[in-house]
Amino acid sequence: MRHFVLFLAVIFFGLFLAVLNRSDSQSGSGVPTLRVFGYASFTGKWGAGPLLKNEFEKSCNCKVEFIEGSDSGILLQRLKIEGESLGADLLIGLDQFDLAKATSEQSWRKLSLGELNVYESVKPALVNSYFVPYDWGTLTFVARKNESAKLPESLDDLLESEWTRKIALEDPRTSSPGMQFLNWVVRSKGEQEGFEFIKKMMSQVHSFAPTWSAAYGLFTNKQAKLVYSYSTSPLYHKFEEKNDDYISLKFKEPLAVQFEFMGIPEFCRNCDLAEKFVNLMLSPQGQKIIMEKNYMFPVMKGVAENTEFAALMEEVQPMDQVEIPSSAEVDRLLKKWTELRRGDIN
Amino acid sequence: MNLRSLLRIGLVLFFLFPFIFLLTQFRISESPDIEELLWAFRNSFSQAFLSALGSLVLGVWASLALLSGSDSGGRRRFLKVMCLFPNFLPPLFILLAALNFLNPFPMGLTGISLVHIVMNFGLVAVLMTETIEVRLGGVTELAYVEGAGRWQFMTQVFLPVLRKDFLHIFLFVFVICFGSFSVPLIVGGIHGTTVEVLIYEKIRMSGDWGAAVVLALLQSVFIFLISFVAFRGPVPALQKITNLSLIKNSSGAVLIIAVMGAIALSYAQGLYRGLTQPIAWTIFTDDLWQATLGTVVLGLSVGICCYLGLLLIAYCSPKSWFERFLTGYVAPSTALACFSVLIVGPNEGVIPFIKIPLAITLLSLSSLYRMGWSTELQALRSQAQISYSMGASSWQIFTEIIFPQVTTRAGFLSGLAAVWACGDYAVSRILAHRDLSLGMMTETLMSGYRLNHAILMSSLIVVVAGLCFAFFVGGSRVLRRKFSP
Repeated sequence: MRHFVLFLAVIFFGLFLAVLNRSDSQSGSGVPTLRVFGYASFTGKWGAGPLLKNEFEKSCNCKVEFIEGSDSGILLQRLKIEGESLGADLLIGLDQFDLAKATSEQSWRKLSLGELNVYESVKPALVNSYFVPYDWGTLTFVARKNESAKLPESLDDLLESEWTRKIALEDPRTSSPGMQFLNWVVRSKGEQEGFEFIKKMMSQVHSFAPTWSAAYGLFTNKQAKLVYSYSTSPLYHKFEEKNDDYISLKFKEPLAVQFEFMGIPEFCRNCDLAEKFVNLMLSPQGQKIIMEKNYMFPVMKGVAENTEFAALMEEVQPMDQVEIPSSAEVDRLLKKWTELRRGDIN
Repeated sequence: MNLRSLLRIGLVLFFLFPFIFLLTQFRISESPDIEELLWAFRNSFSQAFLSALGSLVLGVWASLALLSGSDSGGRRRFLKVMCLFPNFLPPLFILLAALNFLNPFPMGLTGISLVHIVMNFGLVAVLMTETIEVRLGGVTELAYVEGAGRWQFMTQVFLPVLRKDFLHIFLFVFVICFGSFSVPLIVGGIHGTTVEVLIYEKIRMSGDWGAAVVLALLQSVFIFLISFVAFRGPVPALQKITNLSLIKNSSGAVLIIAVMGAIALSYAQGLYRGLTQPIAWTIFTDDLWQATLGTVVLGLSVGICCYLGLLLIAYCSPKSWFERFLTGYVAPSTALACFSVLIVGPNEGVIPFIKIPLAITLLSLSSLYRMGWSTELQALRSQAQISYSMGASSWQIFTEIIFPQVTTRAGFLSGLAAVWACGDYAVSRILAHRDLSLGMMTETLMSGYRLNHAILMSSLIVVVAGLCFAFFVGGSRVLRRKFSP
């Protein structure tokens, strides 16, 4: 009996040590560690994070360690809870809807980046001196080519019978693209008309998925004909899967824009390294990595030129004003959206 | 105060830790929106009720088919594996399979219930099979010999004797579905807003932890009250003779094969798509081996924690208030429980490998208790009482009477917990700093367009989870043999 339990214990601890061996080997000895909070698809093996890390470690005499979170909202909560004790030096991946909350809940270091040679459409996002955008994208509906005779060209076209129960959307309460869609409609049509439109859209929607990935999964599995995603999504399929079947739609209404920001918390331990990492992310090399791995537009000029990203950037028509809504405004819109959903069953 | 009392209090405090801790950490600034809350409760309740009812009915039917084969027979083993298959996969994959096979899919309450039933009825069937064998074996044989008809037996013996087991399993599925998050949002249509969604919204969008804790507390009190009302009366003692000719029915096998076959087929299609994509090999990086090892360690750790937790509960039983508490207890939402564990102490180095198993144990132990552990213990009570009156000590009763009879069940339940841990990413994503397991890597792939690669990677989860499950089931059998007098 004892031998049996001992045998199991030895096996278990052997496995445990094997796993720990990797954890220990990752933490550097004697060199400072730059801790970067980021969302999983950025910091993961297939994201831009590891390439940026390798590039940075070549010259910084330091280690870069990523702390992952599922999305920006959860990441911000995590930063609030353990950021200071863990020594968070940089936060990557906030969008414009998170900025007000981030500013009210944390203190941030001012960034002194000088004059940035950014695209015109990015300039409105530079108003905040604590956060700087590192990539951006427009959001629209993505469809499969040749699946439908006539693809929507305006928001109102989405109400046509062909799209009934065929549109995969994200829930704005749990997903950033979902919030983008809500904001897009409200800003394109005005608040009252926008919510009336959303009410009509309820019968068109296949589902309000909790995350972008769930919605996109429904679309790629052909459960839905349209999905609200990034204009650059078809480029992923083209480059990585050699599949040219997807198309992002042009709309009469200017498209919603998502900027992804980074910021350095006031309590950072390796603040200079964090600033250097910010600079790397804004450098041509960093911007290229982000563009090619994150499938988003670069913010700096001179990177996308002569690529399909540049051609697409020319084609899309983004909203000309970037609003950074307050937390109260976001809450108010969400409450109204929830009431609308609830009203449907009463 | 003796050791058992101390252990009981320790366990209760372990379960209540997230609530106590979060209530002391966060200020409750405003009362919840009652209208919104009632709406979410109504949605949660109705979908959970229908899902639990459907899972129970189909599960019982399928269990009659499992009873048709001998315990060690290949046919039964095959059907059991089929029944447990959905437990090995992330919910999104089951959901996609259901959507693939029912087109157009009935959105709304029906849709949510259908997906939940597909996810849970197989597990219910496996649990019910074991329950029927140990509870009705002798009675069935007697009724068979005496010439009772099937209908007579079903209405006068089967349903009344198993009433409490049905309630336990109903509550087990009800609680799981009540806290469901993704399924109601995706297929629920206007019924998609559940209490769990509200809790997540409070944390993610508003950062209002106080409100989230209040919602979780209300949810737990609600379930506690239901369980309090539902469970009364004694549980029949165990019987070990198994001639179940009167209730065996092979028709349930068609149901199992049709539903699970459809899921397996859809899953296989995803695997094929993943394998045939030009960059399929990119998932096989050096990190994959580490993630596989990490998954094994997490699966085994959770299994061991749950096995010990179940035995600890067995040692601390019987005690009326303690059993009532365990039956009615529901852990707060995953996000809340995990953040409460995250806040306590450091989170670096080896710590995630300790915190993740603890958090998953905290979230799943009460479910395992409702999955038949409580009735198993109650059925042994008379034996324990006789031993006690004959002068046996608590420790002696536990090691010589209780343990040999329950270790196999504990092994099965811990094996299931290990399976859940192998596929977990929700808990790990909050408590770990990087991808430690295959579950986390799968989620990372999904969040970056690579759904088919995620399916490909999940096949490794199935393998690892299967090994962990076999380890606990086999290990507990060895322990039973070693401890049997």
